[in-house]
Amino acid sequence: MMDNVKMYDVPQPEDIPLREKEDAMGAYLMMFAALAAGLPLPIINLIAALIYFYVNKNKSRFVYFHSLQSLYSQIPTTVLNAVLVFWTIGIWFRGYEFNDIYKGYLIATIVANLIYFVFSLIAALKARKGKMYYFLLFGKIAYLQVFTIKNGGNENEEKKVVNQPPF
Amino acid sequence: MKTSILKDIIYVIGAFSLVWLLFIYIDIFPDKSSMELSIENEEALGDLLMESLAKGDQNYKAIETSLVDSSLNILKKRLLENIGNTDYEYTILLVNNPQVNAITLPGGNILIFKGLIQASDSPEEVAAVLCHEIGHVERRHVVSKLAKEFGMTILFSILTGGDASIIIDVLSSSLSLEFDRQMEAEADDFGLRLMEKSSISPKYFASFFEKIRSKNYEMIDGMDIFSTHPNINSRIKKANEYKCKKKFIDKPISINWDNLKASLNE
Repeated sequence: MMDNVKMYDVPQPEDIPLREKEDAMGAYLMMFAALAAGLPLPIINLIAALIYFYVNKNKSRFVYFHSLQSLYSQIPTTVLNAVLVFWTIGIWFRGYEFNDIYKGYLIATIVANLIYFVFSLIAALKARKGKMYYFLLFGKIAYLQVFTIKNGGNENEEKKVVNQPPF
Repeated sequence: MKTSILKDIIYVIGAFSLVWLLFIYIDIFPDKSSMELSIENEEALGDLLMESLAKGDQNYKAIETSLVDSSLNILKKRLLENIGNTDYEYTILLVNNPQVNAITLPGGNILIFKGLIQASDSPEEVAAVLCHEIGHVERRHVVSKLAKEFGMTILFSILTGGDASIIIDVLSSSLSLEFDRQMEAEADDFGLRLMEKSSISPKYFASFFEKIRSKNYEMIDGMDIFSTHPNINSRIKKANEYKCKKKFIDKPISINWDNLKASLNE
């Protein structure tokens, strides 16, 4: 499968400190809060998600992966919700047609949000237990981004020497 | 690896599109109230209301001169020839009422007010209003509104020979029916399409609305077509922006409009 591309090992639950498990879980739960707060203006939750991601991505690959997966999986629902909000505003204030296409979109978007909600909850619980959990599509993309070994596979190269001994 | 991700993308987009399409075709908010009254019953109800109307108010007395009849027939013929399949038998009457208005009663009965003819400059403008009203009929807006207001039981009780006072109630309510925004939009859409099919430019719809608005005719409650909806500008805009097919030709309606208007002033 992974020809020519070397991947880091996926971390196992016993290797992950509790703090990291909680941060990984927080990546999903935090998005809920952001999503709820962002409902009238769907861009807000994306900004919040980005901030959470940047704060947490350097903690460990496990946290990085879950934050990234959560961020990616949120993009489609955010776009769908944003379109829905503007479409609805259009119907109310600009006289767009309230038609079956809109009704279908409304339901489909609600379904998409529910699916996102349920899977995020499952992922949050799994992350709390230190388990990997891959969403359709977003799980794979996030995995590739987080676990691909760059620089020819020398893990030590990643560590920059910042702190020097006094002698 | 790439094919696996590509597959996932197709799954995600496909699933969403499928759900969307599915719910376009599944009516999730069925308007039961209008479904329950058959077209036959609606027409019977309409007949009863028209009968009651003819007996009562002078404001709704039909003008039935030969000039009016022939003019209305020309209008009706042009529109109904192009409407396609319809379950209704339309009755279009001109009533002796100076208000600028038109009203749709159940069963395809449309009343045009004398004031509307007098405010218009051409038969095409009145045709635009008629197309809008026909939209209300075809989309069954009148019955569904009445059913909401009175409930099906009362409407059925009229059909089975109910109290005459109820008929008067239903009638007066039909005469001042206010449609909601969605219904107006549906009737507009239907009307604009019907105008196009009938070789009448949708521009007449816009121009007549603009004229009515600018002249500031006295607006009364329940005045359907020109009701002071906040979105009246967008309705005019929609009519102006309506794109007809390339082969569309605007065919004038051959009615001597000045003659008709003059005859109404007598």
